[in-house]
Amino acid sequence: MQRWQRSVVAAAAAVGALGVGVALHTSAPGDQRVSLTAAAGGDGYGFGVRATDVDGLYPGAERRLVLTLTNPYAFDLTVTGLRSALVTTSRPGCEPVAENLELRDFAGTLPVRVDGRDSREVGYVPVHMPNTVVDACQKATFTIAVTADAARAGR
Amino acid sequence: MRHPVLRTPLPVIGITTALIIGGGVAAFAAWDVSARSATFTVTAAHIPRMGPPRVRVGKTPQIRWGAVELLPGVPAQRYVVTRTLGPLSQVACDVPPGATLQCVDEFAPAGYRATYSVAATYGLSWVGPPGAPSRAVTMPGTAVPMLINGVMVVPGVGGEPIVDGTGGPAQVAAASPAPALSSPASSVPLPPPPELPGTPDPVPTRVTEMPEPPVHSVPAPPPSDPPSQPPPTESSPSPTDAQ
Repeated sequence: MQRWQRSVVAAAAAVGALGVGVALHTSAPGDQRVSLTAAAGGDGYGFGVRATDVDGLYPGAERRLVLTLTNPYAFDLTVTGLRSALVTTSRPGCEPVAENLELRDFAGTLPVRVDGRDSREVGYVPVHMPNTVVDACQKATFTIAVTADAARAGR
Repeated sequence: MRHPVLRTPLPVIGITTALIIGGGVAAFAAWDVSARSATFTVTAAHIPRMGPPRVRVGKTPQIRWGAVELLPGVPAQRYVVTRTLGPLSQVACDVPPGATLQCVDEFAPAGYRATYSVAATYGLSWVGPPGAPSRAVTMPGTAVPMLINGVMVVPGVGGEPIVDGTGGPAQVAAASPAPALSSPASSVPLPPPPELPGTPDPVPTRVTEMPEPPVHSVPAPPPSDPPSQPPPTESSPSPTDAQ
C-alpha cells in the first residue's frame, strides 16, 4: 500500500471512530481545571473523566471548575451546551442539595468552536459551599456530573 | 497496467467511507459528538480534633490553646471550651472570632477536680470533634455538693466528683438565659449559680446552670461515659496543634 493510500485509510478510520476522555488538574489557587475530551461509549459517545481529586471546600468557600475542551480529531467541533449537576455525596446526613453545595451556571460563551486536534478553555462552573452546609458534610465527597453537547463544526 | 488502487481494495473502502461520512456531514452539518455525562468529585474540608489545652490554676483556672486550621490559611472561627467533672460536662467558655485563644473559667466549682477540652467551630454549623482532655486540675477552695442539670454531685477524695445516685433536692433553680456573647478579645463565662432557697443544709448548695451549648450530662443512676469523658491524666500540658 502506498503512503497516500495509508493516509486515506487512516483518515477514514478516524472519521468513523470517536473517543472521549477527561483530565482534571489544579492550576491557580481556587481554580480547578477539568479537561473534557471525547471518549467512545458502548452505544455512542460520552465524556470520560480522568481527574485528580478536588478538595478543600468549606462553608463560604468558592472554587472555579475551569473547563478545557480537547478535540482529538482532525475536524473542528462546535460545543453547544455545558451543564453540571450535583449527583450524590458520600456521607449520610449530607444531602446533594444546593444548601450544601451550589453549582452555579456555566460562565462562558456558547457555542464555542474547538479546532481539530486542539484544546480550548471555554469557561468555568462556579462551585460554592454556602454557610447553610450541615455539619454532616464535613469530609464529604460530592459527585458532580458534567454534560457537554457538541457537533462537528460546519465549514 | 492495472490501476494501482484496484490492487488493494481497502483504500477504496476507506475512501468510500470517508466520502459517505463527509458527504453526510456536508449535507446535515449536525454530527453529535456527545450527549452523556462525565463525573468527578469534590471533597469538603473538616475541622481537625484539637489537642489538650494548657490549664493554669490560680484563683480561677485559665485555659489556653493553639489555633487550628481547616486548611492552610483557613483558621477555625470559634472555640468552645468544655469542663468535665467525672461523667458530667459543661461548656465553660465560648470564645468568639477574633478573641485571644484563652479563657478564664470564672465559675469553676471550687475544690473539685476537672479536666478541660476545646473544640473548634466554623460557620453556622460545623463543629469539630471534642478535643483531647487537659491534665486534671483541682480547683482551689472547698468542694460542696452541687447540682448539675438536676444531677447531684458530691466531692470525693481529692476533689473527685461523684455523682450521687440517691437524688438531689427536689427544687432545681430555674435555668438562666444563655450567656450573651461578649465583645471580641474576651471569653464568655457562665452565669453565676443561684442559691437554693430553704435548704436545711447549713452549707448552701451551689447549682450550676446549663448553658445553651449542648452539655453531656447523664441522669444519676448509673452514669454513662459521654464522648468527652477523659481519663484522668497527669501529663504536662502541651499546646494544641492538632491538624
